[in-house]
Amino acid sequence: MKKNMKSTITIMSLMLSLILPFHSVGQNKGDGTIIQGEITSATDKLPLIGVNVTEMDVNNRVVSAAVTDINGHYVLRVKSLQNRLAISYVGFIKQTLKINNKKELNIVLAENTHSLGNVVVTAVQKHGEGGYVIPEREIGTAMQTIDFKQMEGLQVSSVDEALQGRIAGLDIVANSGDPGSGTSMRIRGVTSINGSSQPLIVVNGIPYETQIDPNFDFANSNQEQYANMLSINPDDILEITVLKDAAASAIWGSKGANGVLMITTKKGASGPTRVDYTYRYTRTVQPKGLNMLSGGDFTMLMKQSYLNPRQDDNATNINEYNYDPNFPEYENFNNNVDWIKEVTQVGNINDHYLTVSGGGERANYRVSAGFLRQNGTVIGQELSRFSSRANLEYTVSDRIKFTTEISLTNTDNNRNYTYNFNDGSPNEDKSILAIAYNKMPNVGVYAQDLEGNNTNSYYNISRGSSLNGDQRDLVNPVALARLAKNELKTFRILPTFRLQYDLTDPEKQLLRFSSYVSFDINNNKTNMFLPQEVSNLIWSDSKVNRADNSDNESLTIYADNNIAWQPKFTNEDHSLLLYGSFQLTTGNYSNQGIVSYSLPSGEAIDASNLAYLTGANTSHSSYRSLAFMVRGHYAYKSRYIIDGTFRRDGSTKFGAGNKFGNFPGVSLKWIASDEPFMKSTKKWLSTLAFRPAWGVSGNQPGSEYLHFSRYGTYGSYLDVTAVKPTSLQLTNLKWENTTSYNYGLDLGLFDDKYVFDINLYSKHTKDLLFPKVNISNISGFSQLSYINGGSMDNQGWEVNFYANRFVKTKDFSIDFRFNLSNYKNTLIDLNQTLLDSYNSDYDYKNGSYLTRVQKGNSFGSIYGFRYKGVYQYDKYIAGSQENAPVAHDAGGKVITQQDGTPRAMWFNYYGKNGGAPYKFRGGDAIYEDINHDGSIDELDIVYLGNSNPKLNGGFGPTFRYKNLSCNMFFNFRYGNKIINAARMNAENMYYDNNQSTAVNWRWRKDGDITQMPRALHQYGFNWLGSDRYVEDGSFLRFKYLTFNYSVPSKLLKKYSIDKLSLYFTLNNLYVWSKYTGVDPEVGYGALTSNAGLAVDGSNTPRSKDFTLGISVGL
Amino acid sequence: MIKRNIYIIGLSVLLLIGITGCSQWLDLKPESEIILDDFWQSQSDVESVLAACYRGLTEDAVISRMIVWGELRSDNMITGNGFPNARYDMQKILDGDLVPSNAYASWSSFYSVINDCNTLLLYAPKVVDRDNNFTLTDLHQVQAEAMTLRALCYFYLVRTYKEVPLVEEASINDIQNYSLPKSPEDTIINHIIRDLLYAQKYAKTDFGITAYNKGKITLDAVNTILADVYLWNQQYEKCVETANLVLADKNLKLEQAKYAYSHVFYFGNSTESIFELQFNENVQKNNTVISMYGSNANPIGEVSFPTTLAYDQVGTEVGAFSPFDYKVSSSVIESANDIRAKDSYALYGGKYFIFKYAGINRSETLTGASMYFYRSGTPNWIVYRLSDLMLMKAEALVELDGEANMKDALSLVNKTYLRSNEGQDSLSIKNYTTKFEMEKLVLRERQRELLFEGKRWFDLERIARRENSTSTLNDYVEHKSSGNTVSLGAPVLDAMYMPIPTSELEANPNLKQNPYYEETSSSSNR
Repeated sequence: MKKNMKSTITIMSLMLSLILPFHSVGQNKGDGTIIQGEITSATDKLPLIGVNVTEMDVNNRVVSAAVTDINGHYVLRVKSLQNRLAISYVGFIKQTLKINNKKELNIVLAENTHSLGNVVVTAVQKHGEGGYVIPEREIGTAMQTIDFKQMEGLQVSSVDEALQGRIAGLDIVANSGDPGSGTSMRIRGVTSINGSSQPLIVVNGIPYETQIDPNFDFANSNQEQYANMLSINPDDILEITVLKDAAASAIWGSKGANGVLMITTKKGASGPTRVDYTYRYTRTVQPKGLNMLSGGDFTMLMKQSYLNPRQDDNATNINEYNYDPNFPEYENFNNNVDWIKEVTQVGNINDHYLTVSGGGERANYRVSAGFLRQNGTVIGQELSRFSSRANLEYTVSDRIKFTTEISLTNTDNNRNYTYNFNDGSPNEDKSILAIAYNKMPNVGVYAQDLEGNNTNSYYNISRGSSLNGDQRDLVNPVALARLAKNELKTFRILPTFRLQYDLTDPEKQLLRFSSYVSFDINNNKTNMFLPQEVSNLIWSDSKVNRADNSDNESLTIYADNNIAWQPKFTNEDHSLLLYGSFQLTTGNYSNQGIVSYSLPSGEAIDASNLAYLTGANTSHSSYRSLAFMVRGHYAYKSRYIIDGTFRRDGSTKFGAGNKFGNFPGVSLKWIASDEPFMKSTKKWLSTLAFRPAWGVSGNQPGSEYLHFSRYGTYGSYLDVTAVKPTSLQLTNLKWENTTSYNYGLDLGLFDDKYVFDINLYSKHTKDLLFPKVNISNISGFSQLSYINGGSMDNQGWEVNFYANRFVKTKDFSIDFRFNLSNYKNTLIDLNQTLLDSYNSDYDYKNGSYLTRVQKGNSFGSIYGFRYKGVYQYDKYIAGSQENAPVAHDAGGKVITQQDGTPRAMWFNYYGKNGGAPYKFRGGDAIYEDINHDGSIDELDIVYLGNSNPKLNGGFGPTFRYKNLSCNMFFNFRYGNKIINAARMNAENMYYDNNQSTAVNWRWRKDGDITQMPRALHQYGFNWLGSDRYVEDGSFLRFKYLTFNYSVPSKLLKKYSIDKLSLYFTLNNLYVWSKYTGVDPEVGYGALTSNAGLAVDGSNTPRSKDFTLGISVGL
Repeated sequence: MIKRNIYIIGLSVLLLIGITGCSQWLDLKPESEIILDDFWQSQSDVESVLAACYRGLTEDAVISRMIVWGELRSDNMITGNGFPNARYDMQKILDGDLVPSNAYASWSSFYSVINDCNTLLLYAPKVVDRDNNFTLTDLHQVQAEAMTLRALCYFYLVRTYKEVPLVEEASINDIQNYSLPKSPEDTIINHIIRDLLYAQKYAKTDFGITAYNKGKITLDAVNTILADVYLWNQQYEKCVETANLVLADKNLKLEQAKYAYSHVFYFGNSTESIFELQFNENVQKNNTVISMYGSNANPIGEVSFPTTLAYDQVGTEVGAFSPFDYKVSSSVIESANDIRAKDSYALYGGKYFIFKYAGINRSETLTGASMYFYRSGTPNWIVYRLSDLMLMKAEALVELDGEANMKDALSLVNKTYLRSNEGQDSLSIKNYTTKFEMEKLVLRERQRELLFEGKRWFDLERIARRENSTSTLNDYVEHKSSGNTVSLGAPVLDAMYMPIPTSELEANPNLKQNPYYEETSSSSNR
């Protein structure tokens, strides 16, 4: 209670500090004198009706107002006879005059018949928000801004998609082609290992985060966390700035280590009300992925696969593969189903977007609403999203400005159900598509009667079937998509209130107090139901007829009070800006869930219905942080510039002594091209600037209360509620700290027609946070939630090039942009326990690659065997059957034993580490016996390549011809290796899963020459981690092609339409790559799970789609 | 105007100082959990952590290990309806492929209970000063329970791994040393005995509620565990002495034959129960037993009893390995019509699936065929019951040798034997004349009586330890299947114990792998 009081008081006093200025200004009570008069037109001397008459004080603040009646007469009770009156009326020239103690004022308004003359406005492009605004040319840190005008006409459902490939050093990779699988985003590589390597997102100066359940696994959460990017409508975005180096991101201190994405939304502008409407239609088609076997080919494979290991005919006698009409289920297993076709469809997106904006002298506004409806390319997926954003800016006086922003998003996402029971069932964590790829093709979608006609119920293989559990318990994906429910409803509302108050006359010097309070209210509801009809379990099983309902809500309050001071020097060579800020964040999160089963099947049911309740949980947490920051900017002659930042952050996440962290940053800039001695080259060298910078930024763990030894409930025993310690107290947990240096060069040629932006950087991260580190179980705990476990370096460079209308004729122009970057990370130091746990012994299992994390090396090195094809013969006969499993010496000669027979090849001959020895046979995979000892084991494992690209980047031209523009974009990666796990799983012939058609080339009998080994059901070592599945992942992708046509305004005028444009976009046109998998664009592996290896487990390439759009402005 | 500005600035500054000064503002305690500093204030805190110690033993991870360590490795279990993928590691053990990465090599669930006990033993004494209702007597009783549970955990560990780290300190923070080496076997056993002797002094004899008397540690439970420890440690006289303390309790008696099955295994908390872990349909289900042994929803469990040992398969030759229908000599047959052979397992499709724990009761039709009724509830897990203790004492008496002891041992065996062989003659001393024969008789009776109760592998281990050879153990285990089962026993004594999990060796540099599983050095030059 006490602590709640305290936080309430804090919030109230913050609110008070907001409201206070109004009161203090509103105190000068007038004498209440009434003045009146008549307003007439100068042209016809007639009275004017509805004229605005306002009383204004010295700061041009409106203090009272009136409107003239039908006689043109007004009456106004004024606050002070010293104030002025302003009279305005549409079509007339506005007048302002002093009251000068008069009681009656008759005014004649002149009609505004003149057209406006040419007005030349000169303005310096400035960057920044609130009080801290510095000219863009004086920025000394590494940042890059993307104007969203460039994006016009692109169908992007989220911001990350739009940014992909556009910013040097920002690497965004879609996790897979499966719909909704999200992206992983890295600015300048990985600096943190703890998984939350995603950059901080800031919207209009306010961090845009979601508080995540402390138990949430960051390492595997790219999708979920970045799904929240979806709730910003890309149409509302004006520009995005990416802060790349620590000198820039130090202002976000403890959260900025992974870089910062600053999003600015559009605002209203003065002028008549404008209405814009945009409609886009997108059709998405899922391209064909792997070709899978037909029913006949599959059963043939299975029979061989079961026979081969022990040549046992009984093993192949499986009714479901036999096509025996006497088998009662015969009709259900004689089919030929293309499961991928059954679960996919053509997807489409309908996107409506309406904006109303405008404003006058005092206020401007922009209100937008969008509605998006999407059908996924996999059946059963449907997303609808309503989003709205309102921005109101009211200028109370020349010195006080008040802004309100409210954004609201409501999303209803009907997703596919995913099994999440961790019970070893073959459905575990698989998407509908993944199940479809595995499902045996000879079983039907619908149960069939004895004549082989489909009935109207879905077919599930009976639990009593003799099939292997891999297939027996694999659900019918069509039934799962159609019948099971997994609905996520999200509602998020973010109101922000801002105040800006100039304490002195801004014409003389700027002393500006700004303040904001922002609330982030986020509600999620998940509603899941798994009916019995989708599985072969009996209805009373706890996994079916089961409803999971969960709700979570979070509230975060951000508050910031800051003061900026910019004195005016008489010597205009100096410019100075000082800024101090105090920020507070407080928030809480709560979650409740309930699970019940044995519900009546059929209509999806709420978990609170009467049934077996298996789980009910609630959790709460709250968090607070505060920060104090000072910034300064000084420029001499606008070409010698120094910037400094110091931020001190405090957080509840750390224990006493470690609560606060300091994050300084300094950047310098020298604009050499403005030096007098450079005058001679100014003609062609329009910009030349150097930007060295240094800064420190941080990272904090993802959960709260780590520094306490906590006790939590633990069920009950004999009616007594059990309580036990749930965590080990982390006594010395510290901030993760990244120090970075950036050396930047700005180069502009020929009046900035060609612009280069080049950065070199190095980053050093220490006290790396590692989550969930194993500790000896004898402690009674299996993991420490976090440790500070090592340090790491990152080095890299990036080049950004932009050619601005470098070809230009009267009607035609071309722009071109290009970016290129690379980085390398090196592990400097790592806690020995961590090293040991990452470098576990080789496990002698199919499909696994040896991982090694070594000090002084970067992550992502791939080690494995060398694959040399398939043994053609089983028995070695010199001369005729050479290619058989026998050992060779270094000279390539067959090794003979004492009795003269050739020595056989073995896998793990010495049976080390509990692995079973295995003698290779004809048709088995050949692995290179590096040490020629006749045994394939860990000593034959070699380095096969690295997962990190040598280069990545993007480029594209924009062509404009009159009102038509055409925009192309390509992105690429070069020099990285990928483990093609999807192909491995589709070609291993080890389980009962369906395989790709490539296995039709498998070895079947002695003498077959092929690269595809024989089928062995759960036997042998034909798919060891080898270079057979390691491929070059370089690619060049034609990402999109857009045409945009604006109808000339001459044609539109008679329909009183302001603007009309049409667009057409083709997405993901073509990929050039040697990669044999479906798509070479593979997400990053987490160090914590597989030592940073890039593993492609996706069966589906990225969708190719097109969008048609129309945009109308009134 | 200026005055106003000063006022605003002043207020903002005050606000800044006010909040920064308050670094307490950053002290936030969890809302759904309690922190150590606020805990351990009252008797209820002590009681709830004690409940957690028991609750820890009802984890699936614990029950499954009691079954895997004590039963799955023995001759009593083979694959039943097939293991789901999650039980891949159980299949590996049945295949004789036991490696340090096997999930059942993990001991963490037992150490978790040990840590809860250690924590309780560290803080409970402090509560005496804080809560007047919590008296010294209360404290001693709580300590007796916690020490016994800790001893029980170590007893499981020492039987399974032989040597394990002995942790007595409660784990509180990340700067403590968790890299303890293994302690020698006798150090651990002495520690167990020391704890149990302390508990003997203070343990309650009666909680007043049957479920508590069976579900919590009573003096009988302390003594039974102690007897078992003495038996393991080959201190047979002490074992007999301690067992007699339990047998003196008149409240403990064997259930009558016709109710025995349903009272002991279905209703639970029977008169012969000494300590059983309590499960509850709504709060904590015994999932391991339901899925491994079966239930109403799925009578066919994941494991089954070997056909080679079932009563109607063998038993025709003298000295065969089935405990039922056992031919002692050409004329004497033991367990010819033993109801335990019908109550413990049921025949479906050529396999003997486990009925004990899975069923409510069995009834017989007029023709004598068995009808099995399966339970839909959740069974308690019996850790010790009276017949176990009786046969422990019998085993100790046989080891002590001498005519009187042999007679006493046989009469104890007859108590459980006759209950399940109604109308049969009692076993006669003339048929079991040697110590060897008596030893085997007790072993067979233990197998029949305690089938699937997590005892058999330890029984075989005791024999092997006495004989200093695994040949007897291997004889039994290899008969569980007709195929090649040579690798199923233990080639050497060290192989009877489980390997230490790989992850544990990585996390604790001071730990050494158990001898049989130590990696032989690499062999590039071989």
